[in-house]
Amino acid sequence: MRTPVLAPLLLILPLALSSVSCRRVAERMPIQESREISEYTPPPALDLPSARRFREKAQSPASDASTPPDLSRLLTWTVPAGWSKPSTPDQSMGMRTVDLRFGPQQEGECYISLLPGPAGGLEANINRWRSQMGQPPLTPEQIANLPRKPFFNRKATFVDVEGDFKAFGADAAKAGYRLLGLIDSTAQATIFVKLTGPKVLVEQNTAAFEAFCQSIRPNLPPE
Amino acid sequence: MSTPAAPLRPSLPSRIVAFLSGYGLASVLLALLLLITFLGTLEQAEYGLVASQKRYFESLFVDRIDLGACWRALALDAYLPIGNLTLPAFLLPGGYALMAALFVNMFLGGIVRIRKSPRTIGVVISHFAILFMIAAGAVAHHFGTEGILHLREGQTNNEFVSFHDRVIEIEKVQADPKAKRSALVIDGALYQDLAPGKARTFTHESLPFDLTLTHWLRHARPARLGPEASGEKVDGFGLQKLPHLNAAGAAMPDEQLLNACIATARDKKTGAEQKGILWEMAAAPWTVTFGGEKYVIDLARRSYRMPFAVRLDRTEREEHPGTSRARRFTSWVTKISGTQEEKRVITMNEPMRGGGYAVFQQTFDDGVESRSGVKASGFQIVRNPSDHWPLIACVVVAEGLLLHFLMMLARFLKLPAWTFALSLILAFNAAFAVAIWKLL
Repeated sequence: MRTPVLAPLLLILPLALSSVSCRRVAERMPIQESREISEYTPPPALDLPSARRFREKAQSPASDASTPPDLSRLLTWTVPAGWSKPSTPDQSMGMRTVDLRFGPQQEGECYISLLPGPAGGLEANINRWRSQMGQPPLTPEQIANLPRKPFFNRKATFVDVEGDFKAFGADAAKAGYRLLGLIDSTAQATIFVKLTGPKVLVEQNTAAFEAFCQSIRPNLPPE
Repeated sequence: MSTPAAPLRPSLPSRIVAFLSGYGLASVLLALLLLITFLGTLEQAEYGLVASQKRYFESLFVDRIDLGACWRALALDAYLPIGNLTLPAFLLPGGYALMAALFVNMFLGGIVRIRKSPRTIGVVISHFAILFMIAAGAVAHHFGTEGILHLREGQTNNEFVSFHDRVIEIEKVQADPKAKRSALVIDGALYQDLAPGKARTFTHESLPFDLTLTHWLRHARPARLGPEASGEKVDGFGLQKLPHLNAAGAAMPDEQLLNACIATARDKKTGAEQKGILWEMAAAPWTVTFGGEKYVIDLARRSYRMPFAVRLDRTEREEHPGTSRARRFTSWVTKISGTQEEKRVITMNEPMRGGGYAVFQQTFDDGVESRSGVKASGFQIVRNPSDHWPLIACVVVAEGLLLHFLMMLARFLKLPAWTFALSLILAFNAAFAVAIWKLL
């Protein structure tokens, strides 16, 4: 009766020894594995300093870990006539660097948003906006062919969509809306300017939107 | 009076088969399985689920047993502290070896050597189904993958990342943004033994540099060091080791641990060195430049490619009426296979299946708390070629045992065994099918 007790050990010992001997790790090894990176993966941000790579927070008395930095200090802009800050700011819209309203009932909205990195990429953001307007997504080729407008000393992609607008967090879509937007997406940062409102109101404010976009500049110190 | 002939001693192969198929071996294997389950579950409290699974259940041998951790998990140290007592290596066979041995034992004993007769047909069917279940486990272990895919609304991807497997990837930055991108991959198993003082160099013919890794830590963060601080310093930062246990003293889940190491890229021609810290939570990979060419080096979770892409069109959170408690998360996605697009809905416990993959709704971000302003979903992706095998095996085990017990009952009641058993099984199955149909 002793044999069965020892048996499992005798049975699996050679297996264990073979597994140990299979895994040799030398001090100098060739890399033997590679993979293709998906076309959907955004390009990596290059040459970031260590402090930014490691998400080091600026240590100043005014800074507070729970308070996001005021990115609006990085920009200057001119508010078009008839546009104003919302009378009742929505705290849930924290990603908006600048938030403006226009129209008789403040039903028109325009905001600037500045995010680090590619923020999901140009394609994802354009298609997100289109889905908010109840429109089907565009293919990468269609997005590449969208008009581009000068913005921030670069060329930004211009989006113009009509449809039923369902805003972020809204319960129901608003019919007969139009969206105008500019997106400049790079590996380092992405800036969005987005305007939404009833079609007629947007039509009346298209020129103001263009002027507003052109007025946005980096807030640089005087030379 | 003639002497009785001495019984023939069985041949060696017969004795080996008899031993491998015996009840004695089965009993020992089941007892050892019980023991490693007990110890592995206790050690999990301090080492975490993934480490315990690897050590006890996926190994051929348990390389050491931390009796101190097991003792503390049972709260026995309150009565008799034993400290950090560790038993020597290779004392116990691991779960993988035990299941392999159990498979052999059950195959020989329960299928090959068992007496085949109408009396045992149900038992043979059940043994076969249990073997099928063990095989399902082996297939899932060797060929299955699982991980997570995070998508914001409007975003598309055809890659997901592992929950637990880490790699270091080296990608050459290409001038043409439309060029196909690829990366060299160093598996975590090749560098996760590199404690401070140990180093390993990785080479590839396409790289103008060799990469030396050292100071690997399982859970760490880069911290700015003062000029007087000792230890390895890179760009003013050093690696600060973080505890693996949370405030309650329990092991943190492996997916919350942040691996880190120090890397040195050495020019193959000039020997010039560039040093950087690789960290799982880094906002961007480490960039090195050699001869005007840029390369990015990143410590990340292993990526897996799916045969289709998923675009998140819309995601919603449904709440219990009158409360803010989540009732259901649902995602409306488009499954993109080449030029074909298919609209699908994924909700909790109702995954999208296709191409051997199952896509489950796992997490939801309303965009407010994360301050991203964009709703997002996390999808658990599971590729398991033996996905439904355990269910099939359970059904077959039940049918086999039912047949066996009904035939025993028929013999006891002196009824025609086959007619009685098969007609009742047919009735049970019909009732079961109707119940499932009504429930679903």
